[in-house]
Amino acid sequence: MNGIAAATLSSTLSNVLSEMCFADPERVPPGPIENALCVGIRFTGASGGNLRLAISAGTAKQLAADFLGLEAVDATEEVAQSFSLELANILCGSILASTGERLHLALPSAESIRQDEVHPFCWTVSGAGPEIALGLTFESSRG
Amino acid sequence: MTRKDNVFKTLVVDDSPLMRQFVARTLSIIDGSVHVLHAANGREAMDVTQSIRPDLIITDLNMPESNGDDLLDSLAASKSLCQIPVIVLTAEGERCRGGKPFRHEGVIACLQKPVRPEELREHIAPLLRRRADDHHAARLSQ
Repeated sequence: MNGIAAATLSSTLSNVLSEMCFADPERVPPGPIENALCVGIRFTGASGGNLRLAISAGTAKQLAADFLGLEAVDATEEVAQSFSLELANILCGSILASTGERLHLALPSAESIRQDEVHPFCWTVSGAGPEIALGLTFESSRG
Repeated sequence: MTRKDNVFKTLVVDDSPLMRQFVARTLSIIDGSVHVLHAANGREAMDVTQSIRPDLIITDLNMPESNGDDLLDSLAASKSLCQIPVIVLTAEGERCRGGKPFRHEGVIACLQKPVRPEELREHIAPLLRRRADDHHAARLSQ
């Protein structure tokens, strides 16, 4: 298996969150994410693999509120969950678009996550430690 | 023709309630008179379309049970509904670049998510203007 480089993940995450929520994520050292929601998406086509997104529930609520033009208090857990699923979908599509390959995304699905899991690639949007973790791996060796 | 006849009905089709809410809000900012209908998949969208006949359909592609391509196929097969313009919103950028052609000629745009409000405005504004012109012409002829 090989994965997408951190630089590609970083630039895509930055572009997408800037576009959707006017947020500016910053790379932070690896670590666990508190109260994380986790989403996985499989993709198939010329290459197959999966994307995994973990986001703290509080961050998902805030970003969802910014995306919808709501006050943060009005963003429910359901809205946060819906946001995390759609964010994973959009990130996966954007990252894979850069490969130029014709790939099909499966529907995003919530996944279980160990709360003490240390994620290698992490970002913060509030400056308060790891809030978003992202990874994309291909099932077969490429290039 | 009544004022009610001038309402521009837009059907938003996406399995994500968050995305439907985002598009509805964006449409209300573009034009406060747009009436937004919702559907969570292609089958629901066809049910709504057959009963209400929207002026525009904005649809995701990747949905459970009945996806966007199923919806486009159903619209293309209907003589009465094939003229309804459709905007596709999808995370799969390759579709927007012609990777797999749409089987429905009514698709006027394919936009990759995340979509900017001005991108939607660019494609919706001409439809709103045409609707307003048609309504004005109809009133003059009465």
